[in-house]
Amino acid sequence: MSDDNELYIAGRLIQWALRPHARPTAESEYRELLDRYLEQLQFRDAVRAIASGLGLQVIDANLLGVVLVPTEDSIFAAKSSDYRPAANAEERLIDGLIQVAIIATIYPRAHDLEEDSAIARPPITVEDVEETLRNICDRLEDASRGLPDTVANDRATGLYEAWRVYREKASAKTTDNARVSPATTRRAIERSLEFLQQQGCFTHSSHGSREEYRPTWRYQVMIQEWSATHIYNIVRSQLDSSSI
Amino acid sequence: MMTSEYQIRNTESFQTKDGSSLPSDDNKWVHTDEPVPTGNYWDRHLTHQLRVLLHTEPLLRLLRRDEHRSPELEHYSSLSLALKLLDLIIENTGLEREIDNDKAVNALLPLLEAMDHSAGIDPNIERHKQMARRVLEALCNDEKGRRPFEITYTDFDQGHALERVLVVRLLEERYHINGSIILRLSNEATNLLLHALMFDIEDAQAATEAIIQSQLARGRIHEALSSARLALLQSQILRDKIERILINTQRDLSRVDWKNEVPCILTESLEHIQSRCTVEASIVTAAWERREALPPGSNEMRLLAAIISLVEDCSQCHTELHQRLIGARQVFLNEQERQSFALRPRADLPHLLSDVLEPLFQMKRVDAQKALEAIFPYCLNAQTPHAFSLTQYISRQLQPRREPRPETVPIVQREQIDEGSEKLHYTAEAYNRALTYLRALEEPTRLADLLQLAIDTHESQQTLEIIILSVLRHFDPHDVSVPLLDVEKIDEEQFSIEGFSGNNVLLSNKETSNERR
Repeated sequence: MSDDNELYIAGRLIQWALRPHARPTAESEYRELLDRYLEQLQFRDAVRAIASGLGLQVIDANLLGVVLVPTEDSIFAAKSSDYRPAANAEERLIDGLIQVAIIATIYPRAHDLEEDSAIARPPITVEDVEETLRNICDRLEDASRGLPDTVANDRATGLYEAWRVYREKASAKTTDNARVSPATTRRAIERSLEFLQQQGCFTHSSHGSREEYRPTWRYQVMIQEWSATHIYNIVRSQLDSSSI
Repeated sequence: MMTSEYQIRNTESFQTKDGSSLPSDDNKWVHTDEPVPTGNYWDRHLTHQLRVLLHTEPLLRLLRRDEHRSPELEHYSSLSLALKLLDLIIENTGLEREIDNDKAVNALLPLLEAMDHSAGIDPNIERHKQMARRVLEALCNDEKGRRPFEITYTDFDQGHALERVLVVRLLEERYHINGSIILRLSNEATNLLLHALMFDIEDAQAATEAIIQSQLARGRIHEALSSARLALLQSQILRDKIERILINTQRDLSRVDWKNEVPCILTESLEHIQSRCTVEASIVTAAWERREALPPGSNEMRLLAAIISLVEDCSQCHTELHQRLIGARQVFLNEQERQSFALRPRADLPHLLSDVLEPLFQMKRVDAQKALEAIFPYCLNAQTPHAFSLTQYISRQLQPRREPRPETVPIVQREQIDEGSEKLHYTAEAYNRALTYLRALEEPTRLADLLQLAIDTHESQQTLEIIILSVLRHFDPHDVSVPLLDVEKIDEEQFSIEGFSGNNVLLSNKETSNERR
C-alpha cells in the first residue's frame, strides 16, 4: 500500500473519530480502520501525527472507538461563545459553572475518576445538577452569614463571589404558557445537558416524569483521562494568580 | 455624646483635631486621610440592626410607587395588598395546596373591590387583576428579572465608611412536591414579618417555628399542624446533614474537612439545638394552654394533640442529634486511627466538588469568568469548525424539493404562540437588559456614563446597541408611544466608547423628571 493511501485512510479515521455519534459497530469503514489502528504501529503513528498537526490528541482507542480531544488553542476547541453566542458575561459564568457541576455530579469523589471508563456511570437529572450547585451555594451562604455584605463598588466591578451570581438567579419561574422559563437555572442546566447530548456526550431517556441523562463512554474517557486534571490545574493556577 | 446621637456627615473619613479623643460639641471636623477609630462610635450590632431595617425597604418601595401610578390605579394601597399576600402565603405554607400566582391574585380581589368602593369608583375585575399582578411582580422584583433586591447602605470598617450592598429576596417561586410552581416567602421575609428584630433573620427553622406560633395564635390549627410537620422535616434535614458528615467520615476521612468546616458546623448545630429547644418548649406550652380551653373530644383538641406530638418529635430529634454531636469528635478520632493505613486514591486526581467547583464558586466573579473561559473547551468534545463550501451551498440551493411523506412522519401538534410578522434582530432578553438600565436611572445621567456602566457589567454587544438605539428613539419624544426617558442635548460634549460615538446627551427618567417639574 502506498504512503499516500496510508495518509488518506489515517485522515478518514480522524474524520470518523470527530463524528460525535459515529460508532464502530454501526460503521464498517470505521471498524476496519480502527482494527488497523489497533494492530499496526505504523498506521497508529500516522494517525497520531496527523491529529497532532490538526491540534488534536488521541487519548484512547479500543473497540468502542477513538477518542480525540483538542489541545490548547486548537481550532477544534469549543469556546463558550460557540455554545450561546448572545450570552452576557453573567450567563457565560453560569453556563461554565453548570458544565463543571455536571462533571462533578457524575464524579462526586476523587477515586471515581480512577474507575474503568468502560463502566457506565449512573445517569443524572437536571435536579441532581441543580442540587450539586445549590448545596455549595447554600453552604457558602451559610458561611458568609454574619460577615459584612459586599461593598457596592466591588459589586459594580464584578469583585464579588461567583456563588452569589448563581444564588441570585431564580430556580423556578411561572410563565404564561406553563413552559419552563428560560431565565431560570434549571432551564440553563437542561440546555447544557441537551447540548452535551447533541455532542454525543450523553444519552437521554425518560422514565415517567423523570428525564435522565447518561454519560457516554467517549465523555467518560474524555473527563477521566484528560479534562478533570486540566480543569483542576486551571483552577489552581487561577487561585495562585489571584492570591499574588 | 451617645453613639446614636453622633452624626456621620459624610461617607469619607474624619478625625478630630486632637487625634483619638472623642469630639466635643465645640470641635470642628478636620478632613484627613487617616481613618477614624469608629470602634468608639459604631458597634457591629448597629450594622446588624441596619440590615434588619433595610429588609423592609422593598416593601416601603411599594408605598413610593403608589404616587407614580396611573390615575385609575392610584387609589389602591400596594403595601396593604402586599402584606395580605405575604400573610396568605405564610398561612398556607406547608399545606398540600400552597399558594400559586393565580391564587395569590384571586385572594387580593376582595380587598381591591373594597378600595374601589371607598374611593367611589366602579369595581372592574380586569383592573383588579392588573393591580394584583403588579403587586406580585413588585414583590418578586420582576423589574430586575426576579433577582433579589439590592439595597446600598453605609457601614464602617476600621475607621472607613464603606458602601455595602444588602441582597434581599422577599418572595420566590419554588417547585412543590406535586410538580407545580408555588410561592414561598424567603426566610428573611418570614422572620421579618413574624419576628422582626428578635431572631437570626435568615434561619429556616426559626422561620417555620414562627409560622407555627402565628398560626396557633390565630386558631389556624390545621395550618399549624402542617407547619409543625415542616419543622420536623427541617429538624430531620439537620440530623441527616450531621449523619452524612459522620458516614462520610467513616467511609473516607479525606472527604470531610475536619480542620475547619466540620468543627464550625458542629458548634453552630449545638447552638441551634439549644435555641430551638427553648422555642419548641414555648410552642408546646402554647398548644397545651389552647387545648385546655377547648371542650374535651373536639376535633381541634385532637389536632392540637398532633401538633404537640410533632413538636415533641422535633425535640426528640434534637435530643438525639445532640448526642450525635457530642460523640462526633470521637468518631473522627476513631476513624483517623482506623484509616491511617487505608489505600489512598492517586494524589493527582482532584476531588471535583471541593477542589474545583467550590473554589470556583468562592472566586471573585471576574476571576471565575476567566477560569471558566479556559475550562470550557475541556468540558466539550472536539468541535468541528464550520467551513463554508460554495459547491455544497449551490447544490443545496439547486436540489429539488423533497416530496413530503406525511404517512411516515407522525404529525406533532404544535403549540401556537403569538409572534409578530417581523423577525427581530435583537433577542427579547437583550431588550430587557437594556430596559433595566434605562428604567434604573434615578438621577440625570450622561449617555457615556450609562454606557460605561453597562460595559463594566460585561453586557453583550446587543444590549449596548439597544441602549444607544433607545436613546436615539427617545431623542424625538413623538417617536415613542410610551416614553421612558427625557433625552436632552445640553452642551456640545462628545463621547467615544467601544466603537460608539456622538453627542453625550443627558438622560433622565421620565417619572423623576416629571416629579421634579
